[in-house]
Amino acid sequence: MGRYALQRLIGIVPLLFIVSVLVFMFIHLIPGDPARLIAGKEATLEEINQTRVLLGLDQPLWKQYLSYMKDMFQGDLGNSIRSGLPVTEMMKSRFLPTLWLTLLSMAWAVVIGVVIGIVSAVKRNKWPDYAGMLIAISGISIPGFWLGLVLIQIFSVQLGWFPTGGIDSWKSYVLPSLTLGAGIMSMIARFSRSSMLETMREDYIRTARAKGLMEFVVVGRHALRNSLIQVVTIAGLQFGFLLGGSVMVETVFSIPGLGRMLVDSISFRDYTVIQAELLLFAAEFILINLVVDLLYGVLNPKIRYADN
Amino acid sequence: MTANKLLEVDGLKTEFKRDGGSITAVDGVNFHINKGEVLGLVGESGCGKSVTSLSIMRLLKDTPGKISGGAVRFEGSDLTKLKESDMRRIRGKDMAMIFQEPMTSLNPVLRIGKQLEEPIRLHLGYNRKKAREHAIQTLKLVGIPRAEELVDDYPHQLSGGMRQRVMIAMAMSCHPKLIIADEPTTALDVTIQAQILDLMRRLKEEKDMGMLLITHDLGVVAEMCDRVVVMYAGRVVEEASVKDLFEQPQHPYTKGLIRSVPKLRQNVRRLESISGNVPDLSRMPAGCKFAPRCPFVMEKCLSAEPDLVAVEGRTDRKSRCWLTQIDERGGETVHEYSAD
Repeated sequence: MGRYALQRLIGIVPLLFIVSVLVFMFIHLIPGDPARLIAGKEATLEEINQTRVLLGLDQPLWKQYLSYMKDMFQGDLGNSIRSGLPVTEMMKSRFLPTLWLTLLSMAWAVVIGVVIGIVSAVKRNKWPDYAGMLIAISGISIPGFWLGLVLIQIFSVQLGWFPTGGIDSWKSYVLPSLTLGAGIMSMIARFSRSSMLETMREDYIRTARAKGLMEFVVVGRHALRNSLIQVVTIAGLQFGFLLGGSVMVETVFSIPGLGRMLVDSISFRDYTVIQAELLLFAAEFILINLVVDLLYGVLNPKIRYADN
Repeated sequence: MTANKLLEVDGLKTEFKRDGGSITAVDGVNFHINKGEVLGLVGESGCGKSVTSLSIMRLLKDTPGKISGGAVRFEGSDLTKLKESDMRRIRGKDMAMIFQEPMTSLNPVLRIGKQLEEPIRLHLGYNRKKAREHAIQTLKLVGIPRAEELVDDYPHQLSGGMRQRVMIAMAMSCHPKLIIADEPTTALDVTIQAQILDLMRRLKEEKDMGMLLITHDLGVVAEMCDRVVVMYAGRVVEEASVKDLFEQPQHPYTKGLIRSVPKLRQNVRRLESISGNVPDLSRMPAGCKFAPRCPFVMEKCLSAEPDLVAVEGRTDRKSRCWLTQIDERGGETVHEYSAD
């Protein structure tokens, strides 16, 4: 396992390099002259030229890249064009709410989704299966903003159990993560059901039954782990998307997260912020892919030992 | 005779639901296995051999199949009437099974030792440490070198032959009285086949187990079995001792099977075969199910299906063919067979 993990880790180095180049190039994809843009609309030609020298935009590209990387490793991603504040600081305050929201949404969605999936598969074509799949279909079909508004109406306005928005305490995260997790839970439920059904047809399941094992041991010990491999893939992908921040949920529940920050910065053409967010999302995805790869290794000895 | 019977399959009928209707994969199968005896169950693919074995073990769950009639008596008690929890106590303990595909019959994510220990802990009530020791002992019994290390391996680290040995060890681990082996050597190389057959024969003699050996390979039958039951289209068509079966096959299907075995010493250009295919179970011929492929087919065969009757009055020799039932004195059927 150690060797496998090391290989995966080394494998992400070239990936990170490519991503950093692409993200760096982003500022040069802007239509027109970035120096002119940053200097502002009323800037004179002289001011624009000053800005160009100040930002190092007059240097050769590879030099610009090196200094960009150097700054990045020191935690400096430049200043916001719009507010002039350091981008790193802005991101820090926005990242935590999104991270919490993601973690809480994923946690309940994975647990409940897998449980529904297993029950549906084991009780295939019986009422627990129909009930489970009804929940799953509803979760996918109901639009998030509507679910969010309904939850606010019932649990905040009527019952007063949870705040309607903001991030004041753990209570603030309950309704948003319910809203955000519903669709993912449904997807995971459907995936684990089909994956489980597939696994239950394997020869080794028949072997396990032929040993005289109880059905819950057959399912829990022999089928579950094999079918989780597929579930990990889909959960990892979803995790990555959520870490980008959900504009919809953050808007409905007024959470100051990355999703809204991205939309704001796009509408104000705040390129340095967009660039920093790009970098963060890419890094997050790479990290999650690494974790998923490692989980494959944990779940499947064949992958773990493949290179030995 | 009855006291000596380990397993008695009596009129077993297994149906599969398909497209709203149902088809009968196993139709009124009768045979028995005595203690310490190896019974061969022979037939082409799709003749109901495997369904018969799964029905005996009651492992039809997760298939559309269901036992719809007959009885399976194991040491006197009818397995088809047992509660699932009682059946579980027999599976893997008194009656164990070896499957055809060693490559896929072991769980890829669990260590060999863990998979072997499961039935040992369950049926013999051993603790972890003792179960592990017992697992290693059993692996040694089936001729696996360095069993102490192998218990910590995963299935994909072993060859097919080794995996089948592990499967045999798993089946042997709780000292079963009956082993059901469903094509145990079909998926293996010829040299490994011989090793596995040797091993199974040795174990059977050492432990005095009964064995139901399902195969389509008459060579395996000749080498391993005491008696043989030939199945065709879900029915038993012939039953005989191995010697009688090869020397005087009664049923035209058996004759065809024996003729189809390639013989090295004879200089023949073409392989013999039985023409035609096994009939579709949903579109069975009306009379004898073998009639469409039978070289000796008569008028009568197309309209009425013969019973499985004793040949020449012997209780150990049965055939389901009109030819063997029309005796030389010109009479019609003789010696109607009835279940004991």
